[in-house]
Amino acid sequence: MSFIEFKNVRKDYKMGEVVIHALDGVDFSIEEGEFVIIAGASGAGKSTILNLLGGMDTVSSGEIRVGDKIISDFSSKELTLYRRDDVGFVFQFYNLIQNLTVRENVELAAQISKSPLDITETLRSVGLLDREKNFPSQISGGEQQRVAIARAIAKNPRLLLCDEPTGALDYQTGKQVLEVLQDICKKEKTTVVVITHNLALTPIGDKIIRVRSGKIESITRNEHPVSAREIEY
Amino acid sequence: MTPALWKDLFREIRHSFGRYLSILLITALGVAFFAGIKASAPDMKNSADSYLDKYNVQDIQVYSTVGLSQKDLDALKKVDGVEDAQGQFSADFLVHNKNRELTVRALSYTEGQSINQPRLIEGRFPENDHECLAEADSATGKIFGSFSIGQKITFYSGNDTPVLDTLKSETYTIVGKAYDPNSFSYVHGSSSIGSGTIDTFFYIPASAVKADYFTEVDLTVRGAKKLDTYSSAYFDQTDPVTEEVETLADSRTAVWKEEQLAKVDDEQKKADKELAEAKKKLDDAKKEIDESQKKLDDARKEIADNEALLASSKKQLDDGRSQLNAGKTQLQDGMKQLDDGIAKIENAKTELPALKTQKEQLETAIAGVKSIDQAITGITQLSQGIDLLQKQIDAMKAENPTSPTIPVLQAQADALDTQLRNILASAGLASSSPSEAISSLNAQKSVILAQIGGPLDVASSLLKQVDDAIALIQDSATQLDALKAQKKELQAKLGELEANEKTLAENEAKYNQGVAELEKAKTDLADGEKKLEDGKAEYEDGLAEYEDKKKEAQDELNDARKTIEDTEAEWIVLDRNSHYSYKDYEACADRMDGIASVFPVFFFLVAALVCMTTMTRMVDEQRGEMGTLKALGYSKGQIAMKYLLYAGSASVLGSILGCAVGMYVFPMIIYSAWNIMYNLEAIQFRFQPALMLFASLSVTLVVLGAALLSIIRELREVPAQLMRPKAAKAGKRILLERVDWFWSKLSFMHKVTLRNLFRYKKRFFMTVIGITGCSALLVAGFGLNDSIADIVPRQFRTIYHFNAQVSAEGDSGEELAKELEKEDGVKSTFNLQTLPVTVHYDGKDVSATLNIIDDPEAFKPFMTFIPMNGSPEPSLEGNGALLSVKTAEKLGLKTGDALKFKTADNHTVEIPVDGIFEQYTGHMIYISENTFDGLHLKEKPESTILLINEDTDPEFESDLGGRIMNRDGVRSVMFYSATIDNFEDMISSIQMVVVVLVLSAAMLAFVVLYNLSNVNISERMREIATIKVLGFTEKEVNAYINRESIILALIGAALGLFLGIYLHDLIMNLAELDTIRFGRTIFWQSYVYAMALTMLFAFIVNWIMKFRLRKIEMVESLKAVE
Repeated sequence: MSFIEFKNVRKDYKMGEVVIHALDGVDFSIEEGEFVIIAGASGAGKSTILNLLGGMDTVSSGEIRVGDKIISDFSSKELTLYRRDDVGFVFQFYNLIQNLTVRENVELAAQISKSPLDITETLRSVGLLDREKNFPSQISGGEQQRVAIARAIAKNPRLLLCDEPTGALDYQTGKQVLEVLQDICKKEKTTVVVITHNLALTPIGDKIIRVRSGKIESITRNEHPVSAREIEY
Repeated sequence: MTPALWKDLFREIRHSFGRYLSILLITALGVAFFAGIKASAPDMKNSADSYLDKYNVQDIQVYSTVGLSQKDLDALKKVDGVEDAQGQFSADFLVHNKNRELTVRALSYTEGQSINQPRLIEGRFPENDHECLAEADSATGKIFGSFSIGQKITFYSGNDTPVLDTLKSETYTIVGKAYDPNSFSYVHGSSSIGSGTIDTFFYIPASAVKADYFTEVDLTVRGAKKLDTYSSAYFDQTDPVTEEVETLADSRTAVWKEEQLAKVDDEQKKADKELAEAKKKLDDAKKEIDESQKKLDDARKEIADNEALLASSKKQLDDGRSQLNAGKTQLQDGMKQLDDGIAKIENAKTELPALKTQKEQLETAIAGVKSIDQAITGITQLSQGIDLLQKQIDAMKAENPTSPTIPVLQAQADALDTQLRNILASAGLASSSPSEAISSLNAQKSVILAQIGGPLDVASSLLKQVDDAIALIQDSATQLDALKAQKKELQAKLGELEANEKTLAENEAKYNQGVAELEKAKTDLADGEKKLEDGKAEYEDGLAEYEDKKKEAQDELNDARKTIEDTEAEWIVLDRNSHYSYKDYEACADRMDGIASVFPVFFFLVAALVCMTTMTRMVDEQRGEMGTLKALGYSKGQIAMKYLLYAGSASVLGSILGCAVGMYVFPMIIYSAWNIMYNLEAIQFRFQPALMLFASLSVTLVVLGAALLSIIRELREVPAQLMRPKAAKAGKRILLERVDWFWSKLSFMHKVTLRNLFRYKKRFFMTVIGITGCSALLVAGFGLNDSIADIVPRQFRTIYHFNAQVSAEGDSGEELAKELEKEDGVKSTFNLQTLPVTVHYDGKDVSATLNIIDDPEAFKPFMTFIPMNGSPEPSLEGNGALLSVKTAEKLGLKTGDALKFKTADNHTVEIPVDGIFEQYTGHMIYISENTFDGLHLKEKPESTILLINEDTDPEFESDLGGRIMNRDGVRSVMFYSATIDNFEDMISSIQMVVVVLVLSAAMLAFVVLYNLSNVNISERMREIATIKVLGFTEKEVNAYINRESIILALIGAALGLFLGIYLHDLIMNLAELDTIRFGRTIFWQSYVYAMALTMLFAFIVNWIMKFRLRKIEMVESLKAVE
């Protein structure tokens, strides 16, 4: 049984009189420990998938299972606990709390988690131990994104969701961030789902899910994923 | 502004209606507060003006020290500029209501009078001279207990003038209740009687007044009514008239003096005439007395003469009588002798035969005796001879029995014996032996002797006497005729005497009659004399009386002249500047105006800050749009216009709303609150466009300024910069982090909260100011309640320890106090001497009470002097006075300063202040008796007896009160428990102010907190979404955001507690009455309530914010930074 399973998931938004089918019957599965890239153009529905998978939104119909939890049936409270315990988020714009230092931003997540990782260790793993006392505004974007990753993984989540993690970063920094994510996937056996519009990133994923107009265009298994350091985009 | 921009503006408003509304509302609130409170004072004055106009209250009052006559009134009516004039009589009396003696003023009124029409509240106007109107309910009425319709009241005098001297009746039935439009303040002024303060007034019909003068004349000035009485235009209108009246006063008072003197002269004439008549009567009486005297003297002389005459007659009579009596006695003696003689002779004559018989008997007896004696002797001799012979015989016989001698002898013896026998026989005792015969003879002899009465010689002498007597009788018989002749002679003489006696008796009778007559004459004389004496005494009395009367009359007239000469016949002309209610209300409105300049600044500040934050946020949000517009080529002005219009239109609309509501609601509340103390009618709003414009403009300008300030910075940037997201405000270490021991203990959640607090300084200050205001208002509100509620326990428990006070009549206080101490239920008593005085401040005379303590030690259990304002421990040992704190503050006195007060007869006294003590009711001055004596005041203080009772139960008090009132010398009894109740009733109405303050506070808190929370949330939407995504539960998210506002609220609330103390003091000063000092106490509970309520408001706002937080979509976190 796969770790994550989407079964005929639909998501409709009502915009006044118009109903928009953001997701129109999506089926896919992700295995535990996989590094998955969900790719698609703007408005294809990849963000909706991320929202649903991250427990930030609910399905209109269909079923989403993560591990042994049917999260599509979850109440908002259960979803909160799901986000808290099972999911780590990395946002495109890092979404660090400006008023907290690097370390504190990590603590913010760790504090509400059931089995958090050691914060110092986590910071060291993202290479930011020496900046732990800095505020987000005092470090660079890449560093900020690494803090965001540290914050996400410090919760020791089973699933790490990344929304355009390199979107706001320059090429070099972007690659570094991807490297970190890849490392985590490999070392911690954490399932990592990266959402991007950038198809250049697909070679690093174990599985690539392409989305288009609310539907799955293709699901490709990549038997030999390359290291993030090696890709070019 | 292009049409597109207009469209954009309207859409903007519609889309962010909450924000628009918040600007609108805060503006409305600010304008409402500012304009509303500021409008209160003019509205109050306007209402007073309308009230005075409606009841046609006089513009000028004229009093005179000597009363005003109809002529005066007529003269006043003719004064230039006077529209109307009306006389009024008023007098102060005392009245009992329940157990209390009230000092009241009786005001005359005429039905339908044009000036000062009584404002009837209930019941009807009096229809006869025994009905009256009582004062309608008022603040003071609530304290002292008011009267009810149907109740009968009886006036009694508080001085030497009886009520009936001035009024036709003492007793009146209350048929209605009215306000005196002339006195709409809670103070009715002072009086020279009773407690010294007028407690209430009564309207009595003018026809019930006996006095033929007015005590005051009220004038209205032509054209003054249409002017605002509080304006200078009004005084420009009335001042010339006042001056005119003052001029008239001089001539009228001169006329008065002349009239009075003429009156005295008339009286002098009348008195002189009366005296002359009296004098004539007295003289007549004197004449009469003299005549009587003379008559009496004559009579006396006559009596004396008659008396002498009678005395000589008496002597003659007495002599005659004694002669007569002597003669009579002589004659009678002679006659008696004669009669005796004759009687003797006659007697002797009658005795003669008896004598003769006696003589014979005597002779016989003598013969018998002699014969007996002979016989005896013979017998004896014979017997003896016989015996002898016998013996001889015997002896011879014996010797010779035959001797012949014997027979001779025998024969002899026998012879003898025969003789004897003869004798015996002759004696009839033949048969008897000689001895027997002798004894029988002796017996015979003694019988005869006994018959004779003696021995024989006696018989002989008797016989001789008898013989003499017989001889005498035979002699006197010859004298008898001579005697009888003599007797005849004597009888003749006796007849003569009797004739004389008769004459004498007649004379005596005459004499007696004369004596009786004399006696009568004497009594008559005595009566006459007595009458004369009485008459004289009467005359003397009459004369003395006459002299007294004459002197008295003269003195009286002289006094009257002198009094008139001395009297300062003076008119006191008062315009509204001396009108107590008018000035008092003006002062009150002015104080209100004063506070209006402090209070609303607060709301302005908050409004500005709220607008600033809101607009800043708005501009921040719309950077992109601004950049776009700029890039499209819109000018700065055009872009700015959108925001200025946004904010401006909100504030203009808010101002209109604020004016509409505030100009109505606040004056209404404030006016109603003040009207607890004043008796005005419904509020008369004054249209105040300038004020509204000023308030609206200033608020709008503040808002526009705030908007401009937030735009200007953004507009300086180039479009490209604008279109890029604004750099997030950098996190910063705060000072607190240096305090490691503290910082390290905080969870990072708290750390972030603290950092956030200091990160958004504008928000910090705004919230703190707003919340400070809220909590300050609450403290002031609750404190107001505390302070007012505190008056009663402070005054009547902490300061006063007595339960009741009894007013004593005259100077019976000392005794009464002692007696009352014995009354059941009374623990102890103290006789307090009080004197009503006045002190002068704020341009007016205010009643105060001078308390004189004879024994400070004994007074201690009755009252505690608590030092105030840095006064030393108050003591009555010194020569100074102790002064109540309010009085001291009003007069601006400190310990050691000189206190000046005036007694009822206008004598000014100056005395050093020895101490200042806590006191809430009235202006009180305490001095020792020694000090008082040293002041040498003419007035006599009245006695007030303070009682400490065993109970304060109403039943107990009414029973005790009844018993005390039944005593002589008790004027009134007042129990403080009733006063306390009434007082508490009254102040409960002031608590409305508390409600207003709490509501304002709540409004402030809501507006500020809601606004800020709103801004806070919209600014941190992304952050919130992020932590939601991170798996924060709803509760954790709420806590994360709300913790900040809670901490800000806490800081603001705490600061507000301090500001509240100041605000409270400000309000207390404003609300304070002349006679009652409000406390400055704020109980700790009030701080707790204020804090708790503020926090409650904060929590309520947070609770509302929960819904906004819930609505934030997590997807927000994914969006690009705008």
